[in-house]
Formats: sequence, structure tokens, C-alpha cells
Amino acid sequence: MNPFFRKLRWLTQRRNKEAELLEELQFHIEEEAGQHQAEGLAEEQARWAARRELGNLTLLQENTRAMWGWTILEQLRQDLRYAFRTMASKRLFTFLAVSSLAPGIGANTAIYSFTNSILLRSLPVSDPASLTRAELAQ
Amino acid sequence: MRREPPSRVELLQGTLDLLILRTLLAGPAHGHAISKHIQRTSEDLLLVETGSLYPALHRLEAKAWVAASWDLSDKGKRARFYRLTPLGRKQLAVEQSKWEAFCRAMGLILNPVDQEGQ
Repeated sequence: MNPFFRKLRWLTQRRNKEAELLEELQFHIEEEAGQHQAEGLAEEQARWAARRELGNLTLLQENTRAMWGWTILEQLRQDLRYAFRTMASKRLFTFLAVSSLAPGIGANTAIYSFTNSILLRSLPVSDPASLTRAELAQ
Repeated sequence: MRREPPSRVELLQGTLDLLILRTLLAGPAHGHAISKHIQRTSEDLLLVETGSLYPALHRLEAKAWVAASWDLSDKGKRARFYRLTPLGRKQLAVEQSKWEAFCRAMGLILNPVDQEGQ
């Protein structure tokens, strides 16, 4: 399968993948603990040693998740959610921002389209460059 | 029992993929087994950090060089087994010859046998 479609499928099975990763890492810790136990550590100590060796679990999960792709998309989604939540909670600020930006953008657009039609759009003839101006000299 | 081997070599950037692919040539294995195999085979000189092993495995899976499936481990627990895909096998050949060329070049520079005699 094409890598793009694999990643797309992973995106739809996000929750599953998360659980799988956790189970995979859990298995790693158990194996490691089992090995420490075989080397003579007590069960509790073996588990702690295995857990310590793994290091920062969240960071590891995050780094692995990054390999599934879509990190940029995920972050964009988070940013958008954050933006809309902030806008929803700060109504007055949102109102002021919108009511100052909207007329500004609207007025600009209106003036530009006016200028465009008057100054910039070419004359309604087939070859405007060949037009000449003639005046009668006195 | 030796807890800390006398010296340990830092894994060079980009070599972990090659080590993983080569390890899987012997057959499917789960993450822990791969890490232990690399450590044992290198006579404890190379230690694969778990923090880089799993991202690497998932990266290789995304590139379709390895495929993963759940299976029972030798102790009867569910584990995620990785196996080499035909694409991975091809990539292994490429990476290995690249690495060997690199080693040869390093050797030529570090031990210039022919030139120094003159």
C-alpha cells in the first residue's frame, strides 16, 4: 500500500493506534523486568529498573506518534480549537476585533474594485496598445 | 554478572535503521528482542535506547520496510512482532553496501598503510 494511504488509515484509527502503542511499550517493560528478575532482582525492583530504563514514557509516545505523520495537521487542529475557544470565552474582545476588521476589509475591497475598474482595467477594444490620440493643432 | 560494560559506543545517526533491518533478516521479532539482539551481537558495545527504538520501528513501518502484526511471544504474551518486507529487504542491501563503502573509506584514511611506508 502507498505510504500516504497507510498514514491516512492510521489517522482514522488513531485511538486504536494509541492503545496499541501503549500495549507495545507495556510489553517491553514487562520483558525488561522479567530479564532483570532472571538476573536476580526482586520483582518490585526489577519493574522499577525496567521502567527507569525506558525513561520518559510520554516523550517516547510523542516521538513515536510523530512517525505516524500528520503532526502538522494535528497541531493545526489544536491551534484552531484553541483560537475558537478563546474567541468564544472572550466575547467582547471578539466583537471589537470583528467589528473593526470587517468594515476595514470591506472598505478596502470596495475601493480597490472601484479603482480597478476605473484605472487599471484595459479599454474595451481589441488592441488597446495600438490606440492613438489625435488632436487638431491650431 | 556485568552490569555496566567497560565502554560503550555511541550509535551513529542513521545506523539504527540498518541494525534493525539486519536483525529482522533472521526472522520476525518484537521490539525488546530486537534491542537485546543488537546489544548481545555487538558484545554489549551498542546499546539501543528504547527512546529511539520505537520511533525508529514505527518510522520503518510507515515506510513499509517492515510490517507489524500482533502475535504471542515465547512466554505466551501478546506482542507486536515486526518482520522484514520485500521492500525492506531491498533497502537493507542498499544500506549495507553504503555502510561498507563508508567503513572502507574511513579505514583508508585512518590507516593509510601504503602511503606511510614511503
